[in-house]
Amino acid sequence: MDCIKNDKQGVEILTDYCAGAANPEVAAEISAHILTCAECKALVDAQRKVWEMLDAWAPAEVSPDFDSRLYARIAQEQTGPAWRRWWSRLTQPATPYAWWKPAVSMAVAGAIVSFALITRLPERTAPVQPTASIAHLTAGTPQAGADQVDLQQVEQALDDLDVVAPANQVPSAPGSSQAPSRL
Amino acid sequence: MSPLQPSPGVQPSAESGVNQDMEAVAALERDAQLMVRVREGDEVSFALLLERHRSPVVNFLHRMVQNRAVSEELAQEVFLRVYRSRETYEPTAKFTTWLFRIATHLALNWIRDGQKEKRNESLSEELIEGAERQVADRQPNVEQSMLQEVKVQEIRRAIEALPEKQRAAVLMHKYQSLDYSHISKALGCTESAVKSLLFRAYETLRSRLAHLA
Ligand SMILES: [Zn+2]
Repeated sequence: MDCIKNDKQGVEILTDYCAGAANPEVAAEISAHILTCAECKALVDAQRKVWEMLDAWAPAEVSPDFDSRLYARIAQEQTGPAWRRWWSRLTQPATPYAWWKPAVSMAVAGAIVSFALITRLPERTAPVQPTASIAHLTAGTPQAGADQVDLQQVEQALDDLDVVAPANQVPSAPGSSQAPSRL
Repeated sequence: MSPLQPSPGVQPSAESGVNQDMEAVAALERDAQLMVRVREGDEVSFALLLERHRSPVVNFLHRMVQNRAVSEELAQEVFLRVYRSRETYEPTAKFTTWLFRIATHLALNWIRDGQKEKRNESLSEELIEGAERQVADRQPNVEQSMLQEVKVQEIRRAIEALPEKQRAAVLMHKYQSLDYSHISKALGCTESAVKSLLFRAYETLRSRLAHLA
């Protein structure tokens, strides 16, 4: 095999090998290769040491009252007014950005209702031609689905940008990254 | 607390890849089934899910925010949100990925919200915790114990110094044994972005922790 550093997927191979996650054939190749290549052996040893070192950080014990505290919170929420439960679900969705989905659904529903109203106007009003996008919306759900896919792509792209951006570029204004709607 | 079941999405090891894959699939289905029962109002299934995932979630959050009280508070929020959204849960979503997506999101928000103020507080608090643990352990070799504690503190500092998405990726990869695909879904980015995050993170850790080796 090629040296790890010369392989396009070298870092991936190295990481998987040291994590014990490489497929057996690749693992056997690396094991054989590092017997004769000092450079790759050094890389593997360094990564392996880090991997093993991280084991020293043992997991923390969970407080014995963790469950009882959680159930108390759930009970409190269940016995609270219905509007509060509704509000919590709306402002603190489980999945980040899930608030976009109802927003998109509402926008689509709004567009359909608007279109229905416009097309049923009396004839003396200038006839309104449905725009391409509205025509798609009224044609059924595929376009609405596409809108959602687009939004997911936008979200993905934003997250990818976030990956590239250094941590110190994250907005530092208090609450700026914790918009209620995103939690 | 009962021993934890293997998490879905575990990395296939060279030794028992197929068996682990089978277990992962079975665990995945089990979680989804439990969540469907929770959706139907079965509280026992929620308790089972909590039992299975409580420790991994708390530990992930603890390593992310490096503060025990905060990690438990955030973990409570994770499970509260899971419970809240039981009615809209779709079994197509992989439960563990979904769980860690919620946990990561909450942790990143907490970190970004006041990292500077919280950093010193959390580390000093945990240093005291570490010292207390040493005394409590009453290990015969105090020197060895202290060396171990110093090592752990160095590791924690090195991980804490990583950019937060790299940190989340490493913690899910190393301690939760999640594969690239699961991490990418939990972080909401592509698999290649996850690989890039991980490789940069491990490279940094290799150089920062080299003196401990
Ligand atoms: Zn080589």
